[in-house]
Amino acid sequence: MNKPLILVVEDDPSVRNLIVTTLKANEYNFVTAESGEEGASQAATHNPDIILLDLGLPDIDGVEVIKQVRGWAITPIIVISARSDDSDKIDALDAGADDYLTKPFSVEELLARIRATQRRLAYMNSASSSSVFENGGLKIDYAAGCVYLDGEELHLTSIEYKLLCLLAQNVGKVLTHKFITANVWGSSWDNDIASLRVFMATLRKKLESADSERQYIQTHIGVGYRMVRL
Amino acid sequence: MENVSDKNRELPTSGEHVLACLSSAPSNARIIRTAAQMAKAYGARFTALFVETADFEKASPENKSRLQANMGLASELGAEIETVFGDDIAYQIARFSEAAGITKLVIGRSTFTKQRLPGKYDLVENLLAYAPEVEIHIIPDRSADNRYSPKRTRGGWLEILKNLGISVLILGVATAICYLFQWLGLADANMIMVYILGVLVTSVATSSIAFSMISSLAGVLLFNFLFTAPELSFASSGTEYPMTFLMMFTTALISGLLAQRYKRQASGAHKIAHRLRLLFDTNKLLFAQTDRDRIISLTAEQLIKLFKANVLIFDEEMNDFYFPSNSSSPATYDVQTEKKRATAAMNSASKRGHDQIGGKFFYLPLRANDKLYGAVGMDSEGLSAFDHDTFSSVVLECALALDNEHIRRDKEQATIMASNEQLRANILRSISHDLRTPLTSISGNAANLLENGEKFDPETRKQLLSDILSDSDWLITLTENLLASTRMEDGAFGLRLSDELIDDIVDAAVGYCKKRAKGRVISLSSSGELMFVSVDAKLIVQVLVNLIDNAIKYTPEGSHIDVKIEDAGDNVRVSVIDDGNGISNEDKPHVFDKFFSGSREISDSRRSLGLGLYLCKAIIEAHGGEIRLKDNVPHGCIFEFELKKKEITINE
Repeated sequence: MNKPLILVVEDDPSVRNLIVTTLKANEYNFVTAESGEEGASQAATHNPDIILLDLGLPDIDGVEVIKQVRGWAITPIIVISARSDDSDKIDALDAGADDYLTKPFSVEELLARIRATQRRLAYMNSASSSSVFENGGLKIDYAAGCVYLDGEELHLTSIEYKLLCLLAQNVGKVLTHKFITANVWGSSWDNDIASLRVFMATLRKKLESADSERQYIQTHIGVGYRMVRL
Repeated sequence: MENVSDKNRELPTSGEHVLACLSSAPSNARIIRTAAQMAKAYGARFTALFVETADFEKASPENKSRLQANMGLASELGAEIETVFGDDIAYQIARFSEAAGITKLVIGRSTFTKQRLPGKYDLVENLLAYAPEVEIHIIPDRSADNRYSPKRTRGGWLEILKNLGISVLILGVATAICYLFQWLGLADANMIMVYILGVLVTSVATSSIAFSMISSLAGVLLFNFLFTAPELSFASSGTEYPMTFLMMFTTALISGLLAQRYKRQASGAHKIAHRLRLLFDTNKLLFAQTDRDRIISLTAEQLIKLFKANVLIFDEEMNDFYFPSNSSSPATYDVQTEKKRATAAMNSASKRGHDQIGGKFFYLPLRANDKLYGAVGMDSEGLSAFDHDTFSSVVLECALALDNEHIRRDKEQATIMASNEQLRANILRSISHDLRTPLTSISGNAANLLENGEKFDPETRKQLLSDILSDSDWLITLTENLLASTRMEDGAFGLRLSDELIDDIVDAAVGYCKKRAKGRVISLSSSGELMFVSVDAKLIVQVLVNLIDNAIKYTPEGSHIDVKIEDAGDNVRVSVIDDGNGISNEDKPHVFDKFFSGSREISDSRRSLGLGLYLCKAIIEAHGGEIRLKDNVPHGCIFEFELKKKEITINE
């Protein structure tokens, strides 16, 4: 299989080294950049498949880099943040990042995120125009407006269905509370976010009743939700 | 009169004390301004005094509101306002000056001189006689009579008729008694006494000088007409009678006037005693309170009780009004306008503010020790000068109580900060000790592998590497706890609350811990009921991670750790239950102490900072919850905490 090209934008040499060593050991191709400006220009020259982007860069803010790259490409971006505050992750996700990692992270975690993004890329390439979404035992027939789990039809309320479709269309991507409420309710008040939690909890329960080990929807406390590509 | 506000005012530098005499005259403003300039020039204390005479209650509303405006002006210029009672204005001013240590007195010249009676000294002459040591500054005043004219207000004629009725009735009774005396053959002197008594009773009943004079005269004439020979004629035969009549008239008049004065003073004294009692009650009530909101609501209650008027209290800290619920009448005012008025009153450079913005409430700032706490507004229509004085005293009491509360809170804050400082110092000391061990192991093992990597057999190499890993894991946990504890330094203020599903939080913590379970079986049991809590999600996850980590650390491999979510009425209960060896009874009371790492054998022999459980307790308590340690049956322990449920309305 053709291993994807990964752009690593990280100013700290030892963390960059750790990432590069991990990528090398797993036979990924990579290019590196030490600053935001360099990262943006590397992204333009090499057109990488995935970008790993540190948010705390010496020259420009990571969110700025995301905005620049999003100007011309939909390349998946995984941000890496050392700040314990959620707000910078949410800003990055809202600016167009796909996923995030918090320092300190383990090597396995890093590789798992990269693999998940690869699966998402593969899915997007093969099924972008399909009217049916399939993920593990989950099947959404957009045309008929029906959802099946392991072959059995699921009965969802209209809001649950809207939520599920939104997550499915962005499978593998962390969606922020603000993004989801703005798309489902058209607003994002605090009360909507509380409502979102309730609908998400009932939706998850319906999806996981058959098999409790299989998790389609991940909760990212303080950030949002993601549908996992199984 | 005792000056309640004295304890709060800064002391003057010069020892001079300027007194301006207030009146309801429009020209009084000039006197107030002159006095204020003088006070400023001398660096003196400045007081404005109003002597409320018995007649003032009958003064016209224009007069009353003019007096209010003058009082407002005086307070704006930095004066303390005082009111005393008495009909002899000069005497009252002199007595007050003596008591308050007044050195300079400012007064208008034409005040009270127009209706001067022959032989009666004017105010200034009287003052010179009563208080010779005070410097008196006289402001010439050519404007119209600035004494409030005792015009009859509406209902005045009715009162005259009523008084007339009383006078006629009393004289009639006196005459009847005199006829009785005549029939009994008693001497004239007794009849004279009866008439004098009648005049005395009339004076007290009517409270009017005019009626005292009229009934004195009427008494003399009646006596002359009915009882002196020749009877039923004003002519008198006896030579001594004119003298008798004169003496009778004079005695009746003087005793009548004296009785009236006594009555007025008694009523003034009664008012003052009443106010002192009220102020004392208010003081007692307010100073027993330690709660800010309670002080404000009590003040409002007290003011409403006293004045039966609408009251608004502007709370500077909340930047909003406190609206008392039990106002006497439905309030009609514009909140925004009143807010502007209240703010203007507070921002006025003076002790009291009197602003020009529309709106109907009269505001006094809540100021004590040069700190502003807000403003109290009252619907001041129809309040007398005395009422205003009482009002300002209550406001001052409230300000002082708020100031006390503020000082107390500051002290508490300082104590908390000191203990936080202590905690930080302890943490730093403890960390510097405890960081050494894992860092030694990490750097030593890494150096070893770098230098001699090839010489070790794979088993040894793996051992060294897993040591590095577990030491850095320990450092990661420590860092998370340190970060959490820096957030906790601000107490509840540092919390970033959001409404979260408790299941999501527990799920996140269990998911995280499962990866590092080291052979323990971690399970999650939940009723599945959707329960919200208003929490700082990160910190509660941290609590659970610490509790589960703790269970992992202190139980043998293969133990079960169950995390359970339960509905506990108004609360949500989360328990971390293990079936390990439990905690000894002597350690139990200390598990939540700072830097307590117990005498228990730690399964992987890794030392503990003793910060984890202390932090759990601090976090849960900052959320207003409770954390407990219980025994599990047959063995093991249960750490459980409860958080208040939050009701959420769902948008469909």
